[in-house]
Amino acid sequence: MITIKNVSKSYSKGTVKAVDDVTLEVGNGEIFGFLGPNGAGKTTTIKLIAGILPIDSGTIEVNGFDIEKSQIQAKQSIGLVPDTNEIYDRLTGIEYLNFMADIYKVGKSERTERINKYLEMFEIKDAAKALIRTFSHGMKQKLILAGALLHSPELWILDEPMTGLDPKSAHLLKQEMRAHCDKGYTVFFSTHVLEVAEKICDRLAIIKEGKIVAVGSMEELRQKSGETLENIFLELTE
Amino acid sequence: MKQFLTLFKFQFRSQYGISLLKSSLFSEQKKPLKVIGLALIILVAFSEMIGLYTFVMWKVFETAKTLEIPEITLTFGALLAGAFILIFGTFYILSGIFFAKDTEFLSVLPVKQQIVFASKFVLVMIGEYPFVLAMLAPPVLIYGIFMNCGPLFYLGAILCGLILPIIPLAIAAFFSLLLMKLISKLKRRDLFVSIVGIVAFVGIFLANNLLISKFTSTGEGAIADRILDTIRGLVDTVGRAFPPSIWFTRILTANPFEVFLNSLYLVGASAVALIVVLFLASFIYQKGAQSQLESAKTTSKKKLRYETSSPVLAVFITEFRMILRTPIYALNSFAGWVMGPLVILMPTFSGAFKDPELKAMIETVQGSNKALSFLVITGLLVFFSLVNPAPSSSISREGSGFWLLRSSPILPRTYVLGKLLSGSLISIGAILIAGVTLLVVSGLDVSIILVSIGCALLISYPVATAGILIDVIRPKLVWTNPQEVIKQNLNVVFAMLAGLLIAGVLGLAGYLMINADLNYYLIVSVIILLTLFIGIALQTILFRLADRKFG
Repeated sequence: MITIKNVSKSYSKGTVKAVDDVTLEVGNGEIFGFLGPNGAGKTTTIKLIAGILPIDSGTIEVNGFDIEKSQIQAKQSIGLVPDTNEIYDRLTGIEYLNFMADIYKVGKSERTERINKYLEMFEIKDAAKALIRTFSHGMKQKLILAGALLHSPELWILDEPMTGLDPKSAHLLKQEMRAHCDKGYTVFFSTHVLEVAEKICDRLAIIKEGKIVAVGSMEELRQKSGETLENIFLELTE
Repeated sequence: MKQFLTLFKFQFRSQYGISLLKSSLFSEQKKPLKVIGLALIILVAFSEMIGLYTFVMWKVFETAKTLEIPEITLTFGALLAGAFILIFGTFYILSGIFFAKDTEFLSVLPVKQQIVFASKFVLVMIGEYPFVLAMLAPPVLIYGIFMNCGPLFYLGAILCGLILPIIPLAIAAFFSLLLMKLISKLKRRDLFVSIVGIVAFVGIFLANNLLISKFTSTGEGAIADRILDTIRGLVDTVGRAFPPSIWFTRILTANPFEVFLNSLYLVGASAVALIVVLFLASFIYQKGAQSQLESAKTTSKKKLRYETSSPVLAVFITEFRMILRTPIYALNSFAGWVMGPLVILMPTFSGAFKDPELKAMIETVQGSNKALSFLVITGLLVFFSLVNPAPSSSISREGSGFWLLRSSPILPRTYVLGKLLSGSLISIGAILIAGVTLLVVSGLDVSIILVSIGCALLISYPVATAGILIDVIRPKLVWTNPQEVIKQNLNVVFAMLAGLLIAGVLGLAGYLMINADLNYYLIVSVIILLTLFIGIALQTILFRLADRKFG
C-alpha cells in the first residue's frame, strides 16, 4: 500500500534534515504504527506521504501511484487525519462533511449513509448542525475522523489520533481502525501512546532524528531489543 | 509593569513576525535579498500615494501661506491622521482584541485583564504609527522647510506624533468595549458585528460628505481658494470636535507659554483617555473577549442536508460561506458594495448632477466623445472591484487549515478556480450595484452605462485573477487574528496596485485610440479583446503556478 524509497526532506535550505533517507514498506490490511520522540520526523513523513509537502529526494507510492507524479489518484486513496484540528470553523459540521464528500466525489446515497454512520458512531449527530467553532477539541477531532473516512479510503493516515478523544471514542476509533484493516485496507498512524501501539499494531517503525531505527512486528522488535515496547522505544531513541 | 512588558514583547514578536524575520534574514541563504527586495517594492508602491498626498498638502500650504495662516497645514494633517486612526483603529481593535486567536491562551494567564488589554492596545497603536508617519510627515516637512523651523520643531513633531494616536484609539477602544459588552449575550454575534460595521461605515462616509458639502465654497474664486475655504471650515468645526489637532499645531507653532499649555492639554487628555479605557477594560474586557469563545448550543430542528456539488462549486460555496460568516472578512470584502452607491450618490445629494455647468460639461463630453465617457465610467466601476480583498487573501485565509486542500485529490487549479469565482462574484456584485445606481441617478447616457457595466464586469476577472496570483506566489499562512490576513496583508495592497496597472493599461490604450480618432465601437471592441487577452494570460499563469507550487 505504501512504498517509501530513500526519501529525504530538509527545511531551511537543507540546514535541518527532518527526514533522512527513509525506506519503508507498508502492506495491505496492516495497522502500521509510527513511533518516535518529539521532533523525530513523524509528522513530516506523514505530510510527505499525504502529498502536503514536496519530497527533496526519493519516491513515495500510495496504492501503486506515485504521490508526486500521479497525485490525484494517490490522494484519492488517502484519508488524512492530521495532528492539527484547524478546519473551516465557521461551517457547520454537516457543511464540512458535505464539502469533504464533494471534494472526494462521494455520491449522494453513499454520503448520506456514511455521514449518518460516523455521526452516530462518534455521537456528534446533534451537534452537526452547529458551527464547528462551537465544538470542543474532541468533537472537532471526531468530525475530522468522520470526514477522512467518508470516501472509504484504501489508506487511512492518522497523526496522533487519540489526542482529545474521550475513552469511549478512543475505543471506537481503535475498533474502526481494525474494521478498516479487515476490509483489506491499511491504517498508518503515529502515536505517543505506546500501549495503544503495542495492542493494535501489526507492525511498527521507530523514527529518530529523521532516520528509521527499527521496523517490524512486536515479536521481531522484542527479539532485537527487549520485552516491552517502552523498553524498546527508550533503548532505541536515547 | 514587568508583566505588561513581557506580554507586549511576546505579542509584538508574534504579530509582527520579528522572530520569523530574523530567521529569514540570518538563517536562510538568499532570504535577505528577498526581504530587502520586498521592502523596496513596498516603498515604491506606497511612495505613489504619499507623493499624491504630499502634493495636496503642498497646495494647501501654498495657498494658506498667502493668507498668512500656513499652520493650518499642520492642523489639517493632524486632523486627517486622527480621523484615519479612529476609523481604521476601530476595526483593528475589534479584531486584534476581541477576535484574536490568542484570547483563550491569554485569558488563562495569571495576569490582570487590563494588563492584557493594555498590551494589545499598545500593539494596535504601534501598528498605527506607519500611517501616522505617512499622514504627518508631509505637512510637517513642508511647513518646517518653508518656514525655516529649527530642530526643536522637528523634535516636537516626533513627540506629538507619538502621543497623537492615543486619543482616537482610546475612543475606538471605548466603543469597541461597549459593543462587545452589548453583544456578548447575543446569539448571532458575528452578523451583528457585520451590520454595525456596515452602518458605521455608511455613517462615517455620510458625515464626512455632509461636512465637506457644508463647507465647500460656492464662490467664484480659484479652485485652490475654494479648497482652502473648505479646509478652513473643516478645521474650525472638526478641530473643535478633535482638539488634539489644534493642540498639535500650537505646540509646534505658538509662543513658549502656549507650547507648554498645549503640551499639557495633549499629554493630560491622552492620559485621561487611556486611564478611562483601561478602567473600563478592567471589568468588561475579558467578558467580551471570552464571549467570542463561548459555544452556542444549537436548537435547530432542521434535518441534516446531504447536498452534492462538484469540487469547484464546493470550494466556491465554502469560500463564500466563510467570508459571509467572518465579520472582518465580510466587512472588507463587501465594502465595495456599499462604497459604490455612496460615491455615486454623493454628488446627487450635493446637487452636483443638477449643477448647470457640470450638466453642460457632461452633455458636451457625451455628445462629442462617447468613448471618453465610456472610459471614465468603466474606470469608476472597476475601482469598486479593486477594493475587494477577497481574491488576494483567499489562500492566506486558509491559514493553518490549508492542509485540507493540499491533501485533497483535486488539482490546485481546481480549488484556486473555486476561490477565484467566489472573489469575482463579490466584485461583480460591487460593479452591478454601482452601475445600477449610476443608471438610476446620474442621467448619463443609458447605452454608455450599460456598455461600461459589461466591460467593467469583464475587467474585474483579470483584476481578481491578478489578486489571487499574488496570493499564490506568497501566501501569508501564519497569522493570529483574521485582521492580519485581510487588512495587514501586503498581498492585498500589491493586488490593488496590480489591478490599477491593468486598469491603467486598458485606460491608456483607450486614451490613445481616442486621440487617434478611432470609432467608439472599435474602441470598445479593442478594450474587450485586450481584457480577454490579459484575463486568459493571467489565468493560464495562475493555474500553472498553483499546480506547480501546491501540487
